[in-house]
Amino acid sequence: MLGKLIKHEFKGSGRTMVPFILMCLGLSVLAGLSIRGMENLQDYGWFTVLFGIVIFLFVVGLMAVCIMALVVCIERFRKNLLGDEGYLMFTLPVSVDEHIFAKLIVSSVWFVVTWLVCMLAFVLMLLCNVDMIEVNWSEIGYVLNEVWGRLVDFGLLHIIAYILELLVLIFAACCVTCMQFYSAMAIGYSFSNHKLLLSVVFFFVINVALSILQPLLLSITGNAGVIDFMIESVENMSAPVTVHMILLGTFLYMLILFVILYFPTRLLLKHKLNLP
Amino acid sequence: MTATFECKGLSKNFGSTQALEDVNISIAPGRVVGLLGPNGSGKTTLIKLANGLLTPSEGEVLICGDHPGVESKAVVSYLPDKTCMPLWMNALQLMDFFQDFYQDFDRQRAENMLQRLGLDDRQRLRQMSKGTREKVQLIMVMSRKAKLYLLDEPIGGVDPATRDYILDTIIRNYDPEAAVVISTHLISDVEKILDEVLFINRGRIMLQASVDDIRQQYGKSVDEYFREVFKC
Repeated sequence: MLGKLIKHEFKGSGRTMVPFILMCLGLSVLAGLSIRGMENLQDYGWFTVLFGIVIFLFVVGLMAVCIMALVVCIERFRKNLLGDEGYLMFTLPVSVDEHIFAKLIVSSVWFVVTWLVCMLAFVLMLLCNVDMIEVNWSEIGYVLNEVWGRLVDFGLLHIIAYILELLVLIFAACCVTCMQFYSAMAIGYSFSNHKLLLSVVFFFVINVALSILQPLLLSITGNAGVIDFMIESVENMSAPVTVHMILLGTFLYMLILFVILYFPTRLLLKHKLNLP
Repeated sequence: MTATFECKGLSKNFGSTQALEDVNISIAPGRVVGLLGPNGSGKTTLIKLANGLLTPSEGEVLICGDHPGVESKAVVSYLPDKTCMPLWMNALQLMDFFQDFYQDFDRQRAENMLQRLGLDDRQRLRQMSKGTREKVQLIMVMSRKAKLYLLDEPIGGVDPATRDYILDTIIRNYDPEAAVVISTHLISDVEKILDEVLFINRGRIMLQASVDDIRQQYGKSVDEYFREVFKC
């Protein structure tokens, strides 16, 4: 059932996200061509103004797609689970965990896609702007060869593992961010009145609580001798393994935050659901 | 025989307000039951509890012997008293959605009903009138071969001609082995299809009786008897 929920969640959120992503990519091509056009223009005329507007729209488009990913993450949870649609969703033969995970996975995928789209948009803009004949391909080839050599020296397996670990970390960070919004809304919407306002208040309360928790966790683990043990262990490790351990430690920290936010949200949606 | 819908000592409080108090009811398969009571009497709360949308303060709800959960939701077809379908969807998308999640969804039945009512299955719910949305919602709910139908105010927002069509749809489409609970205060309209009635007031069940018994015992229709009992 989780797969089906994810499928329908992509349909529901894709209606908003896909047009924004396509608009962003289209604007990046237009912006690249505009920059190229401006460089070739001899005098400043209406074309310069037009090109300037296109470049401005490209920047706005990039910001819009990032903001939309956040809006979709919040609104899909709020409307689909806590609004009138909640009557349909919570009477499906599906567990609360599946509902939360479907929303989390799809929102996190959109965050990662948005990030990739922003990078792709910049690349597209540069490709449209750069005169391909003028590019010194042999020099680029030399640099790439040099980079490849360094990577092989460092350990190719480590590099591949770093990339995968980083992707997992980015995904985990997205999940934790989503859970901060979800938990705030789950608390806010369990009240009878001022649900939205209370959700905003609880979002800030949760953020403050987490920022207090961070040094607290460090001091607890420090007192328990965990940090000393970790430093000693790291000193005996090779540099590539140390990086793995740091990434693993960050992931564990994210996991703790996730668990802290997940279980109250689950409990509220299961037992304190207060649909309109 | 296991009751399709059973409440044992069921109570629900919202803070200091008691919405339901010690409700004990049992509905057998094949019965069409009217859950009748004035506004704010606890009808919707009882239906929400049966759907697992609320948690009881005391007592228990059983659907075919199970507490509300994933298993019970697979056999309960619920029509809430408001539009709960995503407004960006059209009837075709809704049918895909129901088909994906409910094994008992009969797509052919839904398509036939949509056609009979002359509804455009490509029109988005957002573009439909409130009454038309209610019809589409009812078609989806009644196209399931569920064991228990919980219908909360199914005829509240539609014109009298459509009311007859909806009641006809309910009677023609439910499985004789399934139970139907219809919550409403439009008693005269639903009376003709009811086997039993449950009178509820201020969170307490005042009466559970068959329609025939009421007619014989009091010499009145259910509507007349209801007006007498709940006279302001």
